[in-house]
Amino acid sequence: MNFTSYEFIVFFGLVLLVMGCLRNFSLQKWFLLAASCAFYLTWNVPCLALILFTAVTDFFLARKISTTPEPGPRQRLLVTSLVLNLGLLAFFKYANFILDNIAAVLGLVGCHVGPWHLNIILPPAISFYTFASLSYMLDVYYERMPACESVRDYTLFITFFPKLLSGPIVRARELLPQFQTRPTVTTEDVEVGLTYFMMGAVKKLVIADQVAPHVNLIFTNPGQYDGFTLALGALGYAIQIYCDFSGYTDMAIGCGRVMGFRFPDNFKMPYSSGNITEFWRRWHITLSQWFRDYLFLPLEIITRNNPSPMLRVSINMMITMLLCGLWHGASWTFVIWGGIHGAALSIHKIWTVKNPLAALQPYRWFQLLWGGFSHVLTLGVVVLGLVFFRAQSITDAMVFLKRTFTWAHGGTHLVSPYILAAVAGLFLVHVVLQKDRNFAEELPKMSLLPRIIGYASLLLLLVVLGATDSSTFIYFQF
Amino acid sequence: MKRSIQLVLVLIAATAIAAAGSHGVASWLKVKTQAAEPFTIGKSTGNPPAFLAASSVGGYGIVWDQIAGQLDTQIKTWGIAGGSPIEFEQFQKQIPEARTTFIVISTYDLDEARPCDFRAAIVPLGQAVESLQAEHADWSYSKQVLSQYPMTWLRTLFPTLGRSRGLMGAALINIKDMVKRSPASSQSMAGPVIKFGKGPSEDEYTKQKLSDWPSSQVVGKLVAMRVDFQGAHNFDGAKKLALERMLQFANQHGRALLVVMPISSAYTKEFISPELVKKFEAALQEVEHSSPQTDLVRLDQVPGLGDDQNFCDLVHMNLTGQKLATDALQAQLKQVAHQP
Repeated sequence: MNFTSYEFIVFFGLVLLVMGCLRNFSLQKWFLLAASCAFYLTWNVPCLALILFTAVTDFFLARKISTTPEPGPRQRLLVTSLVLNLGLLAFFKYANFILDNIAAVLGLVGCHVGPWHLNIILPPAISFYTFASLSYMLDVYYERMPACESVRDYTLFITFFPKLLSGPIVRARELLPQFQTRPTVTTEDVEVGLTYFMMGAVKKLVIADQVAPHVNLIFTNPGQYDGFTLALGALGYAIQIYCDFSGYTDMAIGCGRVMGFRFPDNFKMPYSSGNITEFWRRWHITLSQWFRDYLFLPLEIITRNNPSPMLRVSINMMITMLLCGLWHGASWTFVIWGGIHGAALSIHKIWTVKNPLAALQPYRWFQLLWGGFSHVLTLGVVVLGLVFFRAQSITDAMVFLKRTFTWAHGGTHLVSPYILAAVAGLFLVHVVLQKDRNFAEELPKMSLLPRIIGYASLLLLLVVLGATDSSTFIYFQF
Repeated sequence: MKRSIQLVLVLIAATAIAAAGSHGVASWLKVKTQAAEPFTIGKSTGNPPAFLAASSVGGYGIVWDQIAGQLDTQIKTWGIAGGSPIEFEQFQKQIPEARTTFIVISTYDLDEARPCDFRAAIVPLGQAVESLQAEHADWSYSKQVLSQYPMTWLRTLFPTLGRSRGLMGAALINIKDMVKRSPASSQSMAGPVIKFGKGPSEDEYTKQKLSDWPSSQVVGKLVAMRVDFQGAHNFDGAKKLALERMLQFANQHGRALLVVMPISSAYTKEFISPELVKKFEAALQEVEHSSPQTDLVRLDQVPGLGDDQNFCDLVHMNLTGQKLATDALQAQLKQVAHQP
């Protein structure tokens, strides 16, 4: 059930109706849990057992950790949880990837083994709920939060339908306290929620779904197109994935808000970033913060005695980003994407420390010139990474890049007006709008006229330019 | 004013403005909102009329005036953009006096992956549900069919809803006209317009040859078509069932001619695999089996007719193709007339 489908509108309407009728908060939570399970069932029936198993197991392990004072047993309980969570993730998501690579390595040493392939289905949202559960276990272990006392609340936290399939990756310490007391839903909350939802729908249906057919075509057979078309395809994909994913999370935040629950923002106009570090503070924020808090910082602590801080940070960043790439999917193209970002982050870190142009910083002309250059460079690195992220294989990505950088003239010249319009529109939005503003929060606080104009514009965009045959959100595959 | 009342007023005002805007855009871009437009082809001769069920593929492929002249009768039909037997079935019963019925199909028309945009406006909801039950349709297909109904209702308020691709194409043409490019060039981009009974179509669009298109234009059109497809290609669904019912009705009241039109080789190469061709043939055999009296006219098997030089786009014939196809149909009609 997609957020942009008729079924979801009916489903969500029913959820709100029943929630409104139920006066008891405990009953509301039971109902939300049932609704979340029903929502998950529409994606996959057998995998519901897996998500419930993860939730219930982690709930009891965390309770046990919180009541165990001795460090040894506490550590063993944590390790049990980590092995269980990561083991399930590894099995369901990476088993075939691992087997393929073992077979390839054995082939290199002359030991040819037949292709191994396990017929495994990828449980929807496994990457997202595993990370949510892991953060809870680690927070309880490090006593950053108390263990949840209700198995229903914890299972609801894991399965809560608005954020279940593609995040935002809400931490337990952000959402569980909201399940303690009945949320007060004000009219402003409803309006903010609706605004988030409409903005997300515009991003998804008006932009992402309209450029998707051309982008998909170009990436399916990059050797067939000329350099210009491929460059346009890469830019188109940058727009598609941003509008698709941020559109989803906007709708998730909107749904939660209408019910009185608040989720953290996941995107803040990332393509307006002046450097790659800033990009990661604006792109998939909840994931980058997760990797920072639960992987990068612990790595920094473990390697704090390394004599070269710059080398230490660079290596830790690279490890973090490589694993971040692998989190997205079991393919070397994702690992390369992570590697490109890891390298870019490390280079930026070194640059900020040993900036050879620091003496020019006070000059206005330099600030303008450098600002423009760093924006273009950041965008260039992001788009370069996305070519690997989207390509079906490393070979395809290399063909894509070779033909783009050599500005190949042979091949089909496809000028997609949809991609051109989307690039122009998004560029204009990023230039005109102040990048730290949040219009979904601001619009409902404005006076009547700007609100009417704002909502009418969003609605008009949807009914004139919105795609009706909405495709599945890109991040559902992760 | 109470905040909740304020919100309701804001939403009502925003909806009203968006609805006005949607009507404005539909009017500017001349969006077709009428589901079916009646046409009468040929002069009244006093003979019982013939009924024609054909989408733009059949409309562009044959000069129906000539057919009406040959049969010495009027032909009554309805222009339905993207129409298929499901929609035409609703109109067939309106002229029970018809003694000859032409039903024109192709691998494009009979494909279940390409639902008519006006189906919900023509076929009553109850009948659509019955039809889905009869063919044991899966949830995905049922959802695709049934979701057209709320959209049709919403289109009263927002006529542009669900028509974004066509609107963007039309807007592009209007903008090009505004910046004073040759009207002929934009007319050739505009796409087919159903106009039965006006003689051979001689607009800029039908003078084109698909074989002259640059590869990028072909690719662009194929992408647009791919987007319009919903679900897998299939010829064994509601359209086929409706076709069988139409043929049975026609044969009970007179004679039925099932005309199978060719589709361009570019389209066939991209979308209709050899396996799908087999499925199409199997569907035709079943249709023939259910109505053995039907006269089958296979224009798709006329040598060379499916060549890209006979098409003005991926599915519609140009003037050359139209002439060839009309001649072939007339020859077949003569043969049929001589049969006992």
